[in-house]
Amino acid sequence: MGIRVENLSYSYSGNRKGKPVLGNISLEIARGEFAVISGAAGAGKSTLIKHFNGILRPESGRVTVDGLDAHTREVRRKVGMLFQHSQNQLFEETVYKEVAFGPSNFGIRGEELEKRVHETLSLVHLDVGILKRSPFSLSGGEKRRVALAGILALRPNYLVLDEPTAGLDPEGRAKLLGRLQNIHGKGVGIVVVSHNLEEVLPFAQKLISMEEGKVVFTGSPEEYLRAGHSPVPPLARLMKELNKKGADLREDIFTAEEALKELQKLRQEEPEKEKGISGKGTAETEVAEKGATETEIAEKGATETGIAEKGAAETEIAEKGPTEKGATETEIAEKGAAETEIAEKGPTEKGATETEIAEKGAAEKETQDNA
Amino acid sequence: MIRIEDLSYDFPDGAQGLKQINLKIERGEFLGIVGRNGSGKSTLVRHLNGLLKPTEGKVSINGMDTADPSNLLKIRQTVGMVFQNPYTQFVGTTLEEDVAFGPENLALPPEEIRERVDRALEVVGLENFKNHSPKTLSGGQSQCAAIASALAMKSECIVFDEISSMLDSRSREQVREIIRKLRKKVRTIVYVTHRLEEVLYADRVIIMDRGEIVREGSPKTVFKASDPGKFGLELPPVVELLNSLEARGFALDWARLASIENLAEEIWESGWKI
Amino acid sequence: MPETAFNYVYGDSLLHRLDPRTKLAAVMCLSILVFREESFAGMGLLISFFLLLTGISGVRLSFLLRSVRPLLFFIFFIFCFQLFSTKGTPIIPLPVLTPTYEGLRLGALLSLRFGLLLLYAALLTASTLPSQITNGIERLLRPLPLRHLGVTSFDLATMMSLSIRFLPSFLENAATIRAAQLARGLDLRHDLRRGITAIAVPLIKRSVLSAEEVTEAMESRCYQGQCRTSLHELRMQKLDWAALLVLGAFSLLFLAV
Repeated sequence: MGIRVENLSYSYSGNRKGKPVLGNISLEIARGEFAVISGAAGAGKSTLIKHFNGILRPESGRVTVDGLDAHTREVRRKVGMLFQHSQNQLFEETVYKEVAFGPSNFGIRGEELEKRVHETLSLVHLDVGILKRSPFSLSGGEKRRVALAGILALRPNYLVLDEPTAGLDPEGRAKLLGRLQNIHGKGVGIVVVSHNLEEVLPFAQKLISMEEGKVVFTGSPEEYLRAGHSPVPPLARLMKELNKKGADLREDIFTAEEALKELQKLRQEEPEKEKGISGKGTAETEVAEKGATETEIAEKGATETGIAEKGAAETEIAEKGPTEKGATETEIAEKGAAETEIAEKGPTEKGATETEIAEKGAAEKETQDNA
Repeated sequence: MIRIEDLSYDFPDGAQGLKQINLKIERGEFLGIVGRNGSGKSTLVRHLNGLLKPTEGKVSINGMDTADPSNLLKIRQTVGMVFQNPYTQFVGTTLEEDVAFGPENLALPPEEIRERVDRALEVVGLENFKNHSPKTLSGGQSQCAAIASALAMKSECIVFDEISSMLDSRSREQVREIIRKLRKKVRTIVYVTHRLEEVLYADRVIIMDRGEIVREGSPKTVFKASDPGKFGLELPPVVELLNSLEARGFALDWARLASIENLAEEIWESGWKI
Repeated sequence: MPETAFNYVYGDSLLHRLDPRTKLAAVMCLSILVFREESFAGMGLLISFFLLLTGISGVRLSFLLRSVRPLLFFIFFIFCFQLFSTKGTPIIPLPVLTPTYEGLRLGALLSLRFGLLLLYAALLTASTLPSQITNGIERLLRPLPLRHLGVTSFDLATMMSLSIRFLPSFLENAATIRAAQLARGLDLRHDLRRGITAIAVPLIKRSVLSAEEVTEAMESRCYQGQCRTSLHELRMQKLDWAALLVLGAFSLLFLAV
């Protein structure tokens, strides 16, 4: 069971001098897996996934989904696929019709259809009130969610998304990924195609990395980083750079906390310095101390870059008043505490807060396409 | 060189885009503008070269009012603009034609256009791709082409509007490298993004939200003092790490942190040695 | 396939080096000859001339033939239409549609004519950069009083080159939207009308959006549609005059014979 690709090759018919777009690819994505397919633009990712639901037929090799040939109509439904710029695929007069389009193409009618539309709408955190509106009157973010609902209404066993985070801001990205994790939790296999590895890597159970039409790596994200593949997320790269200078640090790092832990290793190896840390006491007092030095550093920065005009800007900020600054400083201290809390509570908790944000998001109209 | 006074802008459908913006941008400054989608960043920078006209208030470039149509050509020569989408801003059928498009519009003599095009392509490292069509260029190369196109206009100021947001990580790195290079040439740069790590080395950063400037200051103070999450932003892991390093009494020179390599060096040299 | 039809082939042949205006004039002149020609012998001569030019250009013949391929169906249609609709001596007597010898002759001639026109056009685009073609057209149009129609020759040239530039993107968008709707279970065989709406509406929306972005980018780079210059300023060389002379001689001879 799962999506199984065996010795798949594909080349555009018109393109004769170029290399094949896909060269002898074999891979397997298990049912219920969260897989990420990464690679630079033009590596063949989009061409590959179009074979998963039979939009493209393999020129040689075989693609099956749960044992069925990928070119069957049932697979079209089993493998829900959302392409890039999904906000642009809407065309119906109402959101209801838009979401119902998919299932009705597969012969779902009447009450069952209505039930499905409502069900999927809540999956993407949209309100029922939206159903009568025209999809074109929605914000960019809402359009994307309607498009996603349109696919989910097919009740797919696999959900394949091509560059779903493109053009989203960090908040939108976090919401989307939270939503995908939710859907994944319901037993749907997720395949995310992305050229921004660092954004999706922490979510992946399996990573498939492509280069020039070939699969160059398959495995867990940790294995990927340990094996020294590129591209590499920034923190892992930092570790790598330090290792080049002679340090001995782990390179399978995703979060700042992990990185900090690793960096502290550097310090512990030098006994005299270690005394320095222990003497410093709790983190809170450190932040307070740092507050004082902070403005000093900022001023130093100004003179260092040596741009005369900048001074003016700096004083402007200073004039804005110390009260504001003071306020924000206490904020940091508080935030610091909150941060460590999250760190302790672990990733499950984080997921929960993310969905919270997602729910809140419905109210906060994302007006991205207005711009 | 750029002065924005009490700028408000309403979209044609009546929605409010910008509220009471006051901002001065000095010659040679690198200004970062961050904020979530729909916060008004792009709307704001579209006022800098007169693509949008203020509903209220005034925007002036070197003293020229953007609301006066007779100034537009001069303003657009002064303030160049690079956009988000690598494909729709590539208007030529080949790379060199695309870069030449601007100077051609200024009706410059062919020899001068040639010289400007060659120069600009050299700066972005695409001199060997002159005759390439947009189809054969990567997204990163197309964005570099767009930068070259702005350079060929010899503008005093270049505005970059989310130029990395549609690129893959490799192309993004390529584009950032060029921005770093431009930085050294002391041009006025306005850089719009929602990736905070791209403006770490800016002279000044503003955070926008709901059409207003909500935070302003050096990257170091802004990213530490304000909780970016409040404004739909996210401290990238690298910045988070920087903050916790500093919380442990570590003085880092943020102006140098343009690249991971620099950061590694900074950490390595500043006493965390084995 | 659209990706190879009427594309430029990089080269440095005599044909490549000619001024686009010379080549435009030549194609126009040859098109007239092709249209006027009624005999197969004359057609043979025009085909030979085409082969000669192709030889000079260094462009592979198969490449040019591929440009015609998408329109083969259309040419075949013309042929059949003439074959069956022309009155005359029947080849085989059939009850409803009767192919005639006159129809065969006329159909063959028309198909040849149409094919040859396309081939000459393909040779032009293969040996001339799209921008050079628009440049040439712009220069040819410049003396016309277009201003009274509210456009300038620069506007027309820019519009033309933008169409050439964005046609592939348009096709690509169409393919993506088609794939997206197929993924939603759209079955073009069963419901063609709905299928067309499902593809056309998003495609138009998308194109309008792109057009807005293109406009912004152009305006930001000081486009005003009035006076512009060009990186490749056109200059007629001795070579061009010589080529026009040869062409003129060929045409006169052709008409005289």
